[in-house]
Amino acid sequence: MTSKLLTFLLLAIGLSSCEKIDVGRIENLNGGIIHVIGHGGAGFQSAFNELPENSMSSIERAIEVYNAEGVEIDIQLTKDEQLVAYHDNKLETSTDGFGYIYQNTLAELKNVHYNNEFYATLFLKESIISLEEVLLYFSSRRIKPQLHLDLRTWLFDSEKYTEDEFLKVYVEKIIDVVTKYNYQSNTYIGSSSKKALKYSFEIDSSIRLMYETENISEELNYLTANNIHGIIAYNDRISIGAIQLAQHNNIRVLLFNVKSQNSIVEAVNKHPEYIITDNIPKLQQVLY
Amino acid sequence: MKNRINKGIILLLFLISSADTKAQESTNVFSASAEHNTFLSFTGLNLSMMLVGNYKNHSLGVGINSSLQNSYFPYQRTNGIIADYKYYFLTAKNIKGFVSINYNNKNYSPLGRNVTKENKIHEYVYNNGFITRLYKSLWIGNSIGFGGYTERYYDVSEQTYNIKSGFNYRLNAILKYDF
Repeated sequence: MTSKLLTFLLLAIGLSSCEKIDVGRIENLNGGIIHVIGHGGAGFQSAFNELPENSMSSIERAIEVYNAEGVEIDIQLTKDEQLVAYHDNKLETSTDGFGYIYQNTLAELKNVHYNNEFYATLFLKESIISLEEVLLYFSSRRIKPQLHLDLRTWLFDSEKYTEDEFLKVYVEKIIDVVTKYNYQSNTYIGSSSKKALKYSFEIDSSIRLMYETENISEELNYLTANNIHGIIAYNDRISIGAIQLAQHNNIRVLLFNVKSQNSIVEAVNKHPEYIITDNIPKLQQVLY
Repeated sequence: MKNRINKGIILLLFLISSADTKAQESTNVFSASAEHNTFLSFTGLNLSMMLVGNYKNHSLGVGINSSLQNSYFPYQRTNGIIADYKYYFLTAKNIKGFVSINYNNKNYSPLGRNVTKENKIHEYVYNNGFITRLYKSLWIGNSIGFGGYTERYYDVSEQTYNIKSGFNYRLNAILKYDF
């Protein structure tokens, strides 16, 4: 009985890991190509992925070693109105720093190091990087990687700005830096804030805008009337029908929260144009 | 400060355990063993099989290793060679303590669009561990090590080979059989 059970389990594991996708039959607005985008660089930090998200070493690994087609990074505004890549609300959750990004200057943040994982704490000296550093690196490359910017529109000093004031300064600063490196055609600005996307379009209409939503039918009018390039959606919260509706209206789809084998297969089978993943090699195994 | 304390503790542990403990039993004859290692390192989860020559307190093993990792690292199902030198500072009847220097490499074909060139990664680690007799000639044990890696990879965009180096670690489970 035990041996039969063991055989069954082994077969189940074997079969589950052998699921294949006919990538030749992918139909989307990119001509069947799904762009592989690294989440925070080479994926969020874990026991199997030592490099901290949004760090330069993680971004370089995604682009140079893994051959990802782009990365998604989280952008926040510092006290001195510089732009840095950092995900969490507060510094102490992932670094040896304290407080919010907007309470620190860029110079102060250069002395803040990632320390929330054994390998990073012991061996790495990765500090918080500026958006300008990323653009300097990307613009120097022959094949320009896609730069997906996730706006952290709720992280600002409410004593210094109103929400509208902050969004204008924030978006303007982003577009200034992107324009300085002539990187508009490879930059995607993603947000759930319609105001931020509106300001971005008003300043530079050439930058692609990505709106975060899973309610395609409800938001279709907004998406088509406001020059939105695509939507950003949780892989597990959006149906194939909703994706097809978006694509039918010339709206691209970017799926995220894609990490495990099952979620990767599920995401690829939805035929999006972009997938942001924490596991670039695994997604590439499925696609190539 | 926290980093310095961590590094200091690890260095201290190495120095203490690497000190030349009085050997309780030593052998002068040459012997051979087979050693199987399962280890976690920068390249993920790996298996290796080595033929080992033992002389006095020294042993040298050479064999093949293969990466099992199929996530996060593009090194899955890749093979390479492994070499391991051990010095047994403790050789009791049923337990042996050792320090070792381990080298392994792997060639792998990276994934991605239009990637054709092969990459190579080298790992070199100083280890500290022990093995204990499980049954007659069969020993089990483990070791922990720190060292470095050097990766030579092809940058598709720039069409150049680049070299990246960094720190490495190694958590190793050992199964050894003395012939």
